[in-house]
Amino acid sequence: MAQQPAARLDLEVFREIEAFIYYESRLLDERRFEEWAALYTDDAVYWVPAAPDQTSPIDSVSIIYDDKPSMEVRVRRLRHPDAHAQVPPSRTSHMAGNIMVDALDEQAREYSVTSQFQMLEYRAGRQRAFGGTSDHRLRRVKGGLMVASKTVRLINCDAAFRGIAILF
Amino acid sequence: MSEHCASQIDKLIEADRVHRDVYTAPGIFDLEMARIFGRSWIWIGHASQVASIGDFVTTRIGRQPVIMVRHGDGQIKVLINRCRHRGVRLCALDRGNTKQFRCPYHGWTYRTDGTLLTEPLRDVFAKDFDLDEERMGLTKVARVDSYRGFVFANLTPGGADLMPNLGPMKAGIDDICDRAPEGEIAFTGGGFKQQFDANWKFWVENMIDLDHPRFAHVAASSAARGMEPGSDYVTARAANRVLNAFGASSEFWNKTGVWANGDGHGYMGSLAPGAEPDGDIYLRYKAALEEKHGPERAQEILNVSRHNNLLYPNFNFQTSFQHVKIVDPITVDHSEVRIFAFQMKGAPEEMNRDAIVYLNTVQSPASIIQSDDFDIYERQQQGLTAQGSDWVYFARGAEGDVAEDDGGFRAVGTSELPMRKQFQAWRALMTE
Ligand code: FES
Ligand SMILES: [Fe+2]
Repeated sequence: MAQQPAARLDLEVFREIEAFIYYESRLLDERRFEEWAALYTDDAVYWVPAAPDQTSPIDSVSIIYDDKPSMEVRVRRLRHPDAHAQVPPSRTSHMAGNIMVDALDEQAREYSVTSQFQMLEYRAGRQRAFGGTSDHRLRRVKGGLMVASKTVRLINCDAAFRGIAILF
Repeated sequence: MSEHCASQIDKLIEADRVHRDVYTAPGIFDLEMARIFGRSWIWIGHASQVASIGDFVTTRIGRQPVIMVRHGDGQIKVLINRCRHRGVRLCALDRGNTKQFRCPYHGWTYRTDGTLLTEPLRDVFAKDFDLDEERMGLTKVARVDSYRGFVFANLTPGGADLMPNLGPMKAGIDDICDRAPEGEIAFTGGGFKQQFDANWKFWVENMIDLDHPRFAHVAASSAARGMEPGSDYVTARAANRVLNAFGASSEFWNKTGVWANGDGHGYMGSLAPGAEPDGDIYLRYKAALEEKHGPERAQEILNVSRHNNLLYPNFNFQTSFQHVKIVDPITVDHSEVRIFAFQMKGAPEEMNRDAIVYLNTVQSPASIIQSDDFDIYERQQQGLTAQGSDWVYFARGAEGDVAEDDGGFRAVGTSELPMRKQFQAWRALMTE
């Protein structure tokens, strides 16, 4: 693909993609988890590698490697009154930026989008920060865009974490 | 509490309860570091992590930084990760390969067997200063021993050797290795780290606590209920199979059974004792095992019923879902856990991949199972700041312990036998 495909993109399409990324963040911050999961296609994969150099989600462990049904399990668990790690619930602030449309696959009607994100999370007296790169593969569907896959590369992916309940 | 003599420590442990000080008193914690972590066989790593000459990993014995490295002669060395000059932690990486360890501060350089290779200004030391390459080499751990690739170290020269200490837990390590058609496992597959603000023993107790899943994990198990079995999605399949078990009744957990002995070691039986899977992948796996050993021996290997094994004080290894984990005590109320995936050599690729999927689902810091456990450990630590109700109870099933020929005891799964035995071992180590 060309170096700066974004430049060849219709500004309106770029705006649409940008707004989509912001909207995903907003759904998570507003704990609208069902609507968030609904942004993903049925064949979607949500991947958070556990090592900075990890290339395969198959041969070594990942912080998250969810298909759509697993994402939905995650959401149902968050809604359960006995999800102890969310009593009290987290409050989050997701910030997305540096959005670049790296590639356009006309045939699949898919855009490869890279962005930076930061997420502040406050829960039970403790605030912490996550940050890293998100790679979205966005698919053009009737009526708009959906996420066909998302890879989140946390800069601290191999750190000793406290439990993670809210996604990025 | 700062000073604790044996008689004071004795008073903290009763047959079915322990005083909250064992989790909250910094003085007790310091004693644990000396008397438990300073004298027990601690898991260091696995030979497959340092397969080639010069390979190293860094780890801990209790709070102490340690290097495990494969020396030029092929032997695995366990060295204290501290420059002998002025104390710099010599190696700052989790793993790597090196010919030597050079201190970043003044350049003292050590061979991979720990001997001192060079001191850049050797000439200007006082004539009688002892710069002997052995005596000023990296401190060696007093005892190192291994069994089927599992490397253990002990900071104290005296006391039981590794094998007698392992005792009936040897069969657990055999189980792990024998199930691999090639008789060996490899620590490929990556791992996780977690931290929590609570005492290390809460984690240890949780390793064989079979009455907690139906309460602690009810959110996860009910969220996974109704997921179609046999779905093409690898993750969905694993999630379904495993998460449902977390919501099982106490009858289910009782059937698995638990075993524990006075050294604090313990294990729980298989989740579905006697039930053998019959899927295509499993049958291919079984065929590989039979080809290696013949059908009789293969069946014997598969009949061993152990799900989770706890090697006191801080090491847990699991056959069925192919991982080991270790808790490192950091302070009285802060701990870290490291989890390592392993793969069975000679098993179908899908089986090893399935284990990876299980670990993502159940052992990751973002697991909908683990995150609830870790939250609960912290709430235990917070609750125990309460004064006036000073005791923590392990009375469940106390009258049902049955002595076994191997010196251990057996009980139904929901019994708190494992914790009672952990504290029997704790008291012995802390007072003798
Ligand atoms: S502290 Fe290591 S060389 Fe000085
Ligand atoms: Fe648990």
